[in-house]
Amino acid sequence: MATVFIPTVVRPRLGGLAQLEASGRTVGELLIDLEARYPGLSQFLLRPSLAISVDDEVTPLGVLEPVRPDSEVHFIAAISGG
Amino acid sequence: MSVTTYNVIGTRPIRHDGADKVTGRALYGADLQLARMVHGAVLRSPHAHARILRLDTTKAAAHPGVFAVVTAADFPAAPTDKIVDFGEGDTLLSSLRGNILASGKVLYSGHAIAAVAAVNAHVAAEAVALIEVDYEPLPCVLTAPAAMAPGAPLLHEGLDNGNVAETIRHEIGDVAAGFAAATVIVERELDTATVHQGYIEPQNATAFWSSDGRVHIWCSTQGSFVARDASAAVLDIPVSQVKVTPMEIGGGFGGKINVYLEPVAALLSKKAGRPVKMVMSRRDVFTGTGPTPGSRVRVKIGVDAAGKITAAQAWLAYEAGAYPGAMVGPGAMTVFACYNIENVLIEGFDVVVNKPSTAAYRAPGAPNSALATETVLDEIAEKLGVDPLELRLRNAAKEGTRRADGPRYKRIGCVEVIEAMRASAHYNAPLPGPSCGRGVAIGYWFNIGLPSSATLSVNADGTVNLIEGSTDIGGSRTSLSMQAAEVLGIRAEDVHPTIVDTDSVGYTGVTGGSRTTFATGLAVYEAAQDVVTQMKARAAKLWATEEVEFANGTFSSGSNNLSFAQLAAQLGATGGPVVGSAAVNPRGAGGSVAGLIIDLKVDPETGKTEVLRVTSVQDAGKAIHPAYVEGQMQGGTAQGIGWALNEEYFMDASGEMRNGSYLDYRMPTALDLPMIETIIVEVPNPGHPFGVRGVGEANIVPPLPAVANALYRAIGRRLHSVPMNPASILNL
Amino acid sequence: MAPKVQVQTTINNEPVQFLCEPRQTLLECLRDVVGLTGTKEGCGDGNCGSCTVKLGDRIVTSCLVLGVEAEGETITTVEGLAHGNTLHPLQKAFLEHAALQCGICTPGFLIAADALLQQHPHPTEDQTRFWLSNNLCRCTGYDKIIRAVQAAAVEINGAPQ
Repeated sequence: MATVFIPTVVRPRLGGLAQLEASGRTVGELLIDLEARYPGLSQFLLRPSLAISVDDEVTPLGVLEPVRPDSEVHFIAAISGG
Repeated sequence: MSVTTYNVIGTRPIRHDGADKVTGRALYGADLQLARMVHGAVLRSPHAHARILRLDTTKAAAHPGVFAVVTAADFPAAPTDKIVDFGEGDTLLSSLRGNILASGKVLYSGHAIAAVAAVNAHVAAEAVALIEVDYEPLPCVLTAPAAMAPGAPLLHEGLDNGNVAETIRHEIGDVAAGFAAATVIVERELDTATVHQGYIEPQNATAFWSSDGRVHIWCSTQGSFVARDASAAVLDIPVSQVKVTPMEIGGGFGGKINVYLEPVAALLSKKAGRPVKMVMSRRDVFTGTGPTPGSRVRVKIGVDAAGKITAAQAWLAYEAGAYPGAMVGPGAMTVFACYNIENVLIEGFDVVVNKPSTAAYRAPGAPNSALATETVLDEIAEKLGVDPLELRLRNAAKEGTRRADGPRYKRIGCVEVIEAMRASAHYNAPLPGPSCGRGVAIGYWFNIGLPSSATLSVNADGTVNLIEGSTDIGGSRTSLSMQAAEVLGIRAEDVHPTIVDTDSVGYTGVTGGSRTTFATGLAVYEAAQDVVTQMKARAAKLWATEEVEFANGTFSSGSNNLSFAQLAAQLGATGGPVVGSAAVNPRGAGGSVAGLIIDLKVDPETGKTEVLRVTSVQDAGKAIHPAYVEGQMQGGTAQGIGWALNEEYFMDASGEMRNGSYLDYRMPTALDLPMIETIIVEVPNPGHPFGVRGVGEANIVPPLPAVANALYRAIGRRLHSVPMNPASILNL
Repeated sequence: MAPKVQVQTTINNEPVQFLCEPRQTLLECLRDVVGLTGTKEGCGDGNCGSCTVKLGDRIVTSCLVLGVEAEGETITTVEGLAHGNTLHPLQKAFLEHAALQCGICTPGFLIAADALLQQHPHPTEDQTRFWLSNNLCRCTGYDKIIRAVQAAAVEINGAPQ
């Protein structure tokens, strides 16, 4: 089961939960799994201002990124630079 | 690649565009001359906050020599809540357009309202003065704390919370427990003023709206594809209808990613039926483009008796300027990024104020937050009686350290940078004399990936043409050529790079975010590998074999061998041209840690600060062209020193910038700085074949706190707002 | 639009005639009328040095000189530093020392440094920094520029005695 880390500002919607286990082969499938248990959660995780990090690397594939059973998934600010 | 001795990487060839740049032949945007070209000028608001009651351009349009006048009314109709996404956050189309030409309200002094195209710039300026505007001035708000206070004038309807557009929060562990376990706790609040990137070349754009419906734009930009996409979004036309030709660019530092003039020039051209060139004045650059946020940052850190940080807390309020989007997110992600801390709480606020809408500036958001963290740690070190670098070493982030916003570090050079600082000649030299102080600080920037494309064509003489789309602000076309040359076993001089327009190369992201040598470099590397693969197949044909090796620029099979140039001469005979290409969107960008050691001397009578000695240290992963890596370190350091000591937007109470010229917006001159020593640390980034980490940005992060720490030791008092200029040093 | 004035001048050792309005600066005339775009505009009010040219026997910020003042004068711009295809030692030194990043300030620095080396064949670091303090650079922090000028001084005038 991969671990999905919940951004701090979203945790109050889950009663304070900071991370959730989920199953799936891609980030997208993990979110479908989570959505079934926590309806409405995905809209707070899938935003243009957030990038998806799998195993500590921001992925250019977004929800299509494959995950392993021991993967960590984070939703972090999409930053660019100057 | 496991090779660590290189033929080309690490050498210092003359840059390919060098001869053009030292002879005045290189063409920057303002140098462009097109047949029938006319000139545009912009009317800007004198008020920081006002309703536009009446806007009448009749007299301007009737002025002899005027070809067209445009206002926000000339934008094609589009839904006001349409969202545009450039890959780093969503923006409302109405905000994007609103900043380019105001509609209904002006939100800062300098806000563009209308534009004129005329036979020359002088006539255009005359016509601008004939535009009639009636304003209803409104109260303005100029700092984040003032904008967050109850009853503050509101800039927009429907933001999250008054003038707060977004609230950020990162929390790990338990800070209350962490502070309870601390033996020393220091909490400080620091303010920074608005500062500008200060690029010497003002924004410029020339546009031609052709009768076939295509818009051709020539401009000074850090990203021709982003400029294309933004212009197309503002004009509500398909991106395929816009072609952007990037001219040579005279500095950007993040400030030339947004578009300001491009869509306006296009609209004027559509009306005038001629190419329209627009160049900003220096004052317009200050008041009409995006500076970096002023800020208020509070940081509280607790350490135990062994000097281990037990808890860290930060509160960051950044001024976004007129529209949401202050870089408080990156500021929040970098504030404690150099350290391994289990209990962290970070709160950040994106606050709109009546100032120009902010834009990125070299590691945007990070210098503001590092200022607080690195000065608080300096105080803690002093209280503990521990060397400031030793304190940092005890808490340094390493591979596997988890950041407060979630992810863990891959290989990171924090320890190596601190150790290089500690071992440096500068750090071990005695102070030069009385009234002197030495300060140190470190900082971090992520560096990014994002898409890049490249094409390599092999010439019969063994040279290659490199087509790429990364506008070159600091020698990158040469660093990219060197990466191709290394793979192909040829000289850097044998690669001929050209930076082309958006029709001529695959999508390429901005030259910014310290990404070019890494990401475009990866595209060039893979295009070169594609060339090698194709040429191996040609050699296989020549030698009627299946197995061909390629190493050190030589193709071989058994006793047969040919150099790259020799095989290139035979491409025509073996099937025709060889063209390699690649498009990448890489993961695996490696972050960069930077450090600064600075010695200052303060004149106790005048408060003037003299910079005596400076050493910049940075992890480059692998320095492709060391002279240009040194250049980035020296440049970012100089900007940081100017920011720390002198630069600021001096706004009066009505929100007008009173120092909008290079005389009074005081950037460092050659007299203000000594030689800047550089120490390049190389902790290879596993995500790039040569180990490259971007270096453009992290070096601007440590100067603010290093200067603050040095000043404390020179004058015996800590200053809590930047710039730390003579008036504040003398406590006037 | 005021009637244009005919100006006769010498630019980079060549006689040049151009027409300009009295209100046009020398910078504007060089760039937009004569077509020598090597000299750059950074500020328009004499505070960045990007527009530095040699006018007669001194260097000036051409944004603060009127085009009509060029009448009868001798002007050197960055385009006039090289001899045919042979770069001036300062130009070579700037390339060898990587003394430019974006290059927009480079023409102004080259003209100013050329004037410096004609006045002070072996300038110290302090003299060099003082002389060039009206030329702003935002990219380099000046380090490599100073080194390039000092190296060019040695190339042109030999090592200091």
